[in-house]
Amino acid sequence: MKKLILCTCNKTLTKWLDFARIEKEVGSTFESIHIHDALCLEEGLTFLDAEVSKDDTVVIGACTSQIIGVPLAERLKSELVSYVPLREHVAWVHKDDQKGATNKALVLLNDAAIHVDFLEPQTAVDIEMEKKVLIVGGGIAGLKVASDLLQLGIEVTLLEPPEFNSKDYLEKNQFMADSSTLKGVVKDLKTTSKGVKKVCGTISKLSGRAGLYSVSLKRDNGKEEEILVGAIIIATNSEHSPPSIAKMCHYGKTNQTLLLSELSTLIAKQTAKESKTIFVTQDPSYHDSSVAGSYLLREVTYAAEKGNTVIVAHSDIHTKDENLYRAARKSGVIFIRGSLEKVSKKKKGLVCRLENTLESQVREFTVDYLVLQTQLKPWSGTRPLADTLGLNLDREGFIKTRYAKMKPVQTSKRGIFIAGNAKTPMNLNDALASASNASLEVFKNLIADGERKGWIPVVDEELCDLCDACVEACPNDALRHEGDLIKHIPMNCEFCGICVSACPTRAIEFQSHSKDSWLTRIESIATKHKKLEGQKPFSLVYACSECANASIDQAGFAGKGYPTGSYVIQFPCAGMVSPIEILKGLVVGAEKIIVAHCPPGGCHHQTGDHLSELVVKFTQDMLKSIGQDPSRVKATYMIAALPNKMQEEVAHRG
Amino acid sequence: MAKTAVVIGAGLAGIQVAQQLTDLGIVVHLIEKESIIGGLSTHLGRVFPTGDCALCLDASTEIFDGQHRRCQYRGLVTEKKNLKLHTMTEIKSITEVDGNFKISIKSQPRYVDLDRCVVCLECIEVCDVKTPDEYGIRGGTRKSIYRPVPQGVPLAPLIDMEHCTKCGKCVEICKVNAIDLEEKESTKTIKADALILATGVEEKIPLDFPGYEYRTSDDIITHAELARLLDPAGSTNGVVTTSSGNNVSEVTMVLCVGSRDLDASEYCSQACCTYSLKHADMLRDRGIDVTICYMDLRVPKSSEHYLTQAREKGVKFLRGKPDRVVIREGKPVTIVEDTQSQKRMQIESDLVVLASPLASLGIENDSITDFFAEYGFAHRVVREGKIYACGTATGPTDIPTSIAEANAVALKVYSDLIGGV
Amino acid sequence: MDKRIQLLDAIRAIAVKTPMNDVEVPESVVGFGTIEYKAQTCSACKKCILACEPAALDMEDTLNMHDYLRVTVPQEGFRSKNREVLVTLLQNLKQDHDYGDVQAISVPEGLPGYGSIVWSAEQCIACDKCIEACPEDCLTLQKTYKLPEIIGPIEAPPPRTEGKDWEPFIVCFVCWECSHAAADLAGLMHLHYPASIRTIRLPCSGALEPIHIMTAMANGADGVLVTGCLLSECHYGGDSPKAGNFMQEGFVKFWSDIFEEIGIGGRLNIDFASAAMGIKFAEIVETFTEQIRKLGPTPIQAKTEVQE
Repeated sequence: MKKLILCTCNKTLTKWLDFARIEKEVGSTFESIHIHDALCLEEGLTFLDAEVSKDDTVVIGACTSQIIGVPLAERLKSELVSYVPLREHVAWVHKDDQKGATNKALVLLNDAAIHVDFLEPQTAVDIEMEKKVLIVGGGIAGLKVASDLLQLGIEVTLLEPPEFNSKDYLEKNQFMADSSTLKGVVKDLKTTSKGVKKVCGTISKLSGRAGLYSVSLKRDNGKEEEILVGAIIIATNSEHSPPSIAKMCHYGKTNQTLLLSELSTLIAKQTAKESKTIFVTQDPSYHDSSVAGSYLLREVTYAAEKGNTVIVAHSDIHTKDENLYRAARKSGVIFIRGSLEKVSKKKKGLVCRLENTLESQVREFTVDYLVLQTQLKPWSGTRPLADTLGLNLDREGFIKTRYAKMKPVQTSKRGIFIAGNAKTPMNLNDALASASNASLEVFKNLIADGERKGWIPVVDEELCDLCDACVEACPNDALRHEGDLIKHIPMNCEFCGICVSACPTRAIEFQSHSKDSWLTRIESIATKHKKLEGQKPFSLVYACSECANASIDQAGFAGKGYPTGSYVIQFPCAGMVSPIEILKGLVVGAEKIIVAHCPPGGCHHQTGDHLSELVVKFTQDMLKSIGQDPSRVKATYMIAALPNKMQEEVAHRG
Repeated sequence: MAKTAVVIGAGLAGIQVAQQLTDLGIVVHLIEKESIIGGLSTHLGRVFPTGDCALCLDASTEIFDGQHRRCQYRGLVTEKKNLKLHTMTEIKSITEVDGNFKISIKSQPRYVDLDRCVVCLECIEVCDVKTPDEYGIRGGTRKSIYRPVPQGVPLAPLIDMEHCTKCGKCVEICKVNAIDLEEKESTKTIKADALILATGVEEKIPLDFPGYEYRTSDDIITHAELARLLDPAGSTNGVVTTSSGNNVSEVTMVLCVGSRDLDASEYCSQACCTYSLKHADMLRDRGIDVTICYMDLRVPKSSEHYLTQAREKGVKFLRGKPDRVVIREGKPVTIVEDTQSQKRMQIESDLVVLASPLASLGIENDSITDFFAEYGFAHRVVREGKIYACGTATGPTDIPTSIAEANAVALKVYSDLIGGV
Repeated sequence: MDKRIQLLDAIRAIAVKTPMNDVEVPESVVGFGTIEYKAQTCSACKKCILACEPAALDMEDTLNMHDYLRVTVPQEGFRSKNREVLVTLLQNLKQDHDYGDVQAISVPEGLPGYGSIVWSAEQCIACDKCIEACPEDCLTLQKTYKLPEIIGPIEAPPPRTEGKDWEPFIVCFVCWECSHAAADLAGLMHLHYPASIRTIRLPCSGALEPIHIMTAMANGADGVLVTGCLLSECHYGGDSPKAGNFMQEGFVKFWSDIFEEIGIGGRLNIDFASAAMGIKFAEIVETFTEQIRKLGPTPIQAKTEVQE
């Protein structure tokens, strides 16, 4: 039976919505209609439990599904449910227009009635996991992950790049902390990570899926080996690299110019009597990270304490430990602001000319050594590794995280994580935290025993042209072209529907959200609107179900009202919108179509924000070429922190 | 029997660690002294490094196998069986019996039953009492039954008894009987196996720093206050105004106010450079001129784009720490020596924004203050196997680092309490 | 596909005027034609590109709006439902019927699923493989040859002046069956035909490759004559339509049309004679020589001066 269940939210929605009229007008669409006052409370849930049976299809008109969706789903016996957020999207934002609001509610309920007809039960996904983990890189972070996971009883293989020499642990990591702390930590980690299987070699190929990755290893003894792992953690290191001013400073041409990473060796060799003048400079065009700043401060302090005269030419010095700065000053290091302009080799030493560019004040120093602050770059093998694994890199060439703010160890690929300096240079404490964070994510994945369900894309082999558009579009490597088939890998799938938007032929359809369902719904919204509102203009907002939908919900909470005649259609991701849905909206008479997505770079499925911008740009070009006004179509981001966005977008109509 | 952990502070780190632990099967009591969760983030609007909402959570595995982050209001923090959220609650005492903690907590009455309230907000509608809104800085008001911020979780309102007249209108209108004006404070004792400090930081109100006339003028504000002005959901609808209500056209920002200063806060607060740049960007987008007076610009690699953008958008940078900000003819004037040109400058602007230090909140509560060390910040492991700290409780930092640390601590707690598979 | 390029270069070398019209390709001529592309159903799958051996097809990041708007969706619809809907919606939104200014639009970089096929007439060998590969019926083979597009602009050579004693120099390709015998017979019969003809023996008229015709022209021939056995009597194919003379008849027709377009019309001919037709052979040569005499000397600048 098709049932409609409405909630008056403590009899308050009745102020803005005419429930009697709603009941009367949608009576023929549904087989039964119930109006409840508080669905979200125990009495409401009990009612739903009793009222809805497994075979029913249900439309719930209440508050936003983002709030009641999950608790209700636990009590609803049917999976075929469509929610209409009457409170946040209708009542609260159209407080001064009861008739309009009721009309809008009728349109949306009618739409939901059609929507439920298209619904299918969600598909359960095989979540079998191989409870083994591969770590790439045996530095601090790699050892920490190994140690964490071994303690949790997870089998770990540690893959070390061929050039890796375990004696270099300290030298390679010395920028991360002072050497005694570092030594202690390495010693501890080596003890706690005993029992880890170490392999020296590189990854030559990756296949399989998240949870069941098959990794081909090329061992340094020439042997090829294939191992099956549930997850991969990249814990490669940073490397010191000469700054862009190296050439100007005659680095490599004279023994007097050296890198900061070489300074400690020089100082260690020094006898007490030879006091030298050492000029340390930052690269003025490069913004140092805090770990690089701390490293510089530690090294110059050490040099000054040995009795040398140390001058530091700097722009900004970044450190998390202010005491390092103080110690440096106390040890007699002279800090000078300015950028190194010119270095000339003279008999008496190197002459370094420092210039304050704003004031053209020039100072010259004749020094014994010129020391260059290094740039901490990713491990040289990062790019080939990322290419093999299919990971994205950031501007600096480090492995990019899935989402910078909240997902510090997740990569663009499910089941592959990063730890420590693979992400960005970091100090010891942060690297250890980052490593444990990666261990946690892996561990949680491996012990997951819950169900993974969702609507998935289904490929029709007959209709498929094997054009690879879906494979190219899928942000999560969930579609692959294998032989003469496009294969769906459910474990990688995030149920976003981007593939469907890309398919030119309709050989790929999304469960519950077929192309026909969108077209039918768009058409029926228009028909119903015209029937109720006549010539009054209307807009359609194709909102992604993450940020954009939240922003529209928040418009309700923050009281940012907007005119009626604005209908939100929720897409799993804005990337699922293709030009077809947009043009359909215009054909059925919408005045404006807004595709609302997550903020730039913030799509929950990674690429939907960007793709929907492209789709809209493309559709606008189509419209231009047929003499239609392209400004009727717009893509924009909406986030909960901007609850006014919806108001702005649909305010200037007509 | 399931192990229990108590997390003190429901800011971003506290929520993160609590969610992770419940996902791993540990029962968590999340203690928050405010009426809503989110901590500092409830003030911030938009945050670096991604420039999107502050009220964003890394979702737990209960929603879509934890792949997606979610807004706080849809993050189900209040819906999880093993996560017991105690808002408006403070720790009274912590004792140790047989290696376990007995933590006694005291909750202030909200006067609105969280389990009954359907968030119809009719009670707010009928309330007659208007008082100044703590979240708005330009004369915004709220009712005495109110919700602090639109996204605040729990969503149910609370009553400010100080201003409530007990007229009973809200009680009468509430058909679900969620309001009880006579609710009393309650105490409770929780047994726990581990304690996690996620007490966080707050922006120190810059009253103690001589020379900056924060007290005398509403045109000298902090960044948290500027964030409220910039928030479109705030009382000014996102318009940046002076105390007299005019639109602002020039803003001067002063970094390191009372930070890196042996006479005030000795440490560097890490985040202020970046949020100043973030705010400078947002102000430039509104066409407002911005001058930033700084000592060192310390921007993490993940947020370097803010620095690039600020330069591209024409933010003026001046290297020098102002010694005074005074009010002349009603306008704030920043007096600073430009260390590059060695010139004394007097910069008149409509608004001066002070980057005040981020100070530890944990030390304010006597029953836990002993767990904190230098500058009021705690070590990640306060006591092996028992007490941990994460987020800004261990020192000011940005959100990504905070989240990473919360996750790391969650693993450590799990590993210490439960061990392997 | 060096051979094709060689041939086209050879045509360009003997062209004295820029061709203006497409040339019809006779039914029996294979290897030359035009691939016509209908953008509206194309799914940008690139199957045709993969199938094309001479690499005459490529993908372009544009969408041909004109095709989308002008196409009539058949009763049964397109195989590609998404394209069908797109076409229908666009046509619905296009309010007028003025298609003149409808331009192709570019596909934003990074948007998969759209694109247009570009076809290079120069490289295409009209082999049908792309048509077979296309799952969406976007491609068809047209029996026309886009000569102007292929040859491009030609600079006219300076007019040639010849002495009064100029006699047409004609290269005659003869098959070594009937037509060679006919030439022999003409000699045996002491028939008179112009002396300036040079015969080149081939196994069959069908074995004559176009490059030889072009080479003859390029080297100073005033005309090229091809002779073969009588139609339906080819020694290698008999009355099969695939017989050498049938085939070459079509080709020579095609090349003559091309000669017409490039400014040397009338200088190529094919005719047929049996071994018994000595008189006919003499007549063929006589007529063709007369024709060339009327046309005058070849306007083509000879690459090498023919040694007298």
